[in-house]
Amino acid sequence: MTQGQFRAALHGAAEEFTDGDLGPLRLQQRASAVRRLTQSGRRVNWSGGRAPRVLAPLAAAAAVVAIVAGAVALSANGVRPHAPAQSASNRAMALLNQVPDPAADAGLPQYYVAIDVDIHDVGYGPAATKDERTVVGDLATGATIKVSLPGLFVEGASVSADDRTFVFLATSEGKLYFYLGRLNTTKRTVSLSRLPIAASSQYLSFGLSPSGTALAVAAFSAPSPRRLLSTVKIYALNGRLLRAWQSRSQVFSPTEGPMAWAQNGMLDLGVLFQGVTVLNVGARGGSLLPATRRVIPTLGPGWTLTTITTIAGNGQTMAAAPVKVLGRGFASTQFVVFSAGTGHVTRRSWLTGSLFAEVVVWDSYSGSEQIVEAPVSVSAKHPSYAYGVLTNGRFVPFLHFPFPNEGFHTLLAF
Amino acid sequence: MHLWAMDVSPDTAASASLRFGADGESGSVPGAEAEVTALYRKHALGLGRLAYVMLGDKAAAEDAVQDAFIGLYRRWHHLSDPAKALPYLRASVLNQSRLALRKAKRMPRGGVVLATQVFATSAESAVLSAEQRREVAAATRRLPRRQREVLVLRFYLELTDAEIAHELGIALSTVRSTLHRGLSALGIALKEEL
Repeated sequence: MTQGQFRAALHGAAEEFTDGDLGPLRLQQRASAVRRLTQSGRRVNWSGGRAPRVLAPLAAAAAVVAIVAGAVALSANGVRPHAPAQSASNRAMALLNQVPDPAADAGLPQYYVAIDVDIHDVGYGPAATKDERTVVGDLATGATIKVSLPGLFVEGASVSADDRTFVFLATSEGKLYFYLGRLNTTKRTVSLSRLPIAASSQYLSFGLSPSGTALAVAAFSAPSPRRLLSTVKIYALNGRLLRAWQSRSQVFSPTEGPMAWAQNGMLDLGVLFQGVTVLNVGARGGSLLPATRRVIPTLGPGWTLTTITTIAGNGQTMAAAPVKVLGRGFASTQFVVFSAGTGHVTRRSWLTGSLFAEVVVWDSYSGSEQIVEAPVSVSAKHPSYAYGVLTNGRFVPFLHFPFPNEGFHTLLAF
Repeated sequence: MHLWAMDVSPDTAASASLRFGADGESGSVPGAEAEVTALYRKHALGLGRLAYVMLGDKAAAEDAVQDAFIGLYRRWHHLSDPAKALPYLRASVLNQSRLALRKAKRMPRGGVVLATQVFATSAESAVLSAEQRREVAAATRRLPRRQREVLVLRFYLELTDAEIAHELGIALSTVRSTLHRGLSALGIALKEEL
């Protein structure tokens, strides 16, 4: 079936509903049948009220194309031997506290992972057969490496701060798998190996530690309004569970994508009700609530914090691109940096020209520079995007980014 | 400040020409009933079809539309921007559909009957057999809520990613991923069932 046929099927179904199925407007009646049936249900609020994000969307898009050089070496299973076997709690702590070489914090990242799918070119069928595009690229030269996982569909990624390690979340037939990727900058190759870490929930976020040695998986499930469960687990890359927290409430809303993990041990679990939930990964496992805190940025009236936020490498500030709906089909986006402690907005800017920050891709160690995705065309039908650095309120597009005007589902720099 | 111009639907543009009162109380605003009734005449069919696609039940769809307009009537005095009328009604219909589906899951017998309708042939969808359309409609309604809504907003209302993000209050990237995820899930479901 094609998307055109799907569209036609929906329209055909809709046309079944005719004027004859509508009675006269019954303004004076207190309740219709639906209202009676859902009397205890939540109603739409006039003031832009939306249903709360009880369940964030499932994971993302994905797929691949490729270009240029580089071989993709796949090892069928198992983890590469860099992950040390540890059992003692203090060794787990040592693993969590590892930080990359400080040299890696200097300057902008050179590499990126980009995942995309051209939905308009995709028909139905098993996800693994879709035309995917996943690329590892070099921002300094424009070179890219094609990455593919045969039979699997890459849905999301997370990167470390060590400039060579990343993780893919891939699916096949409804099952989720994590793959560890390593970039060999000398040989210009990417190796991928499947991690022995289970991903059972579709509602999850995941984040690679700054050192690339641990993976955090945050999941939320709500089989019923009275059965909520938020869990965060941190694994060594050999699959050993290092830490686990849980709560019988909704503490965060999984974003389907990466969680930003600062080098001071603060893990950005994502946005829930206009606040960011931050977990201290150094806290003892067990109850999730005592290990987390909420950061509510002082955005001002009408501004909505969207689902993607980042945290600076030093954990002191966070960055986001909140949106304000202006009505009549207009919205405005600004770019903010706010304190990870108090939520106080320390920097607020709009980009010049027709640009506005859409997604914060990367945050520097100090929080002074961000890589952002910025639309360069306001055409909603055919938007085009640019990636570049936002520094001092000025947007500088990448010179050697080989995909001009394209917006990727996920693009992460490392 | 930079504005994000979303291509508004024709219906939205039409509603923008209406004048909404800024005074009085809900429901008792002079002329409110006439204004809301005029909106009903203009948009009820489209909204009913939207609800029907979501619910697959005509009575439930009609109820959802009635509730949406009753809600608008009651909140009439809050309405300052005429362009907000249709987005409000659309959001309300979607919300009523969610509530009805949620309720239907709790009430497998009686109540609102959902996802069992067999859509009849229409000229536009004649390329698909009735059986195929039934499968498509049923599979769409079995998708997780957000996937279902994003797919319907895209492929039925023909909204852009930006408009869907606005409508559902989610990030643009979330729209893209949900759209893709929904299509994947639908493809898998249809493959299994066809």
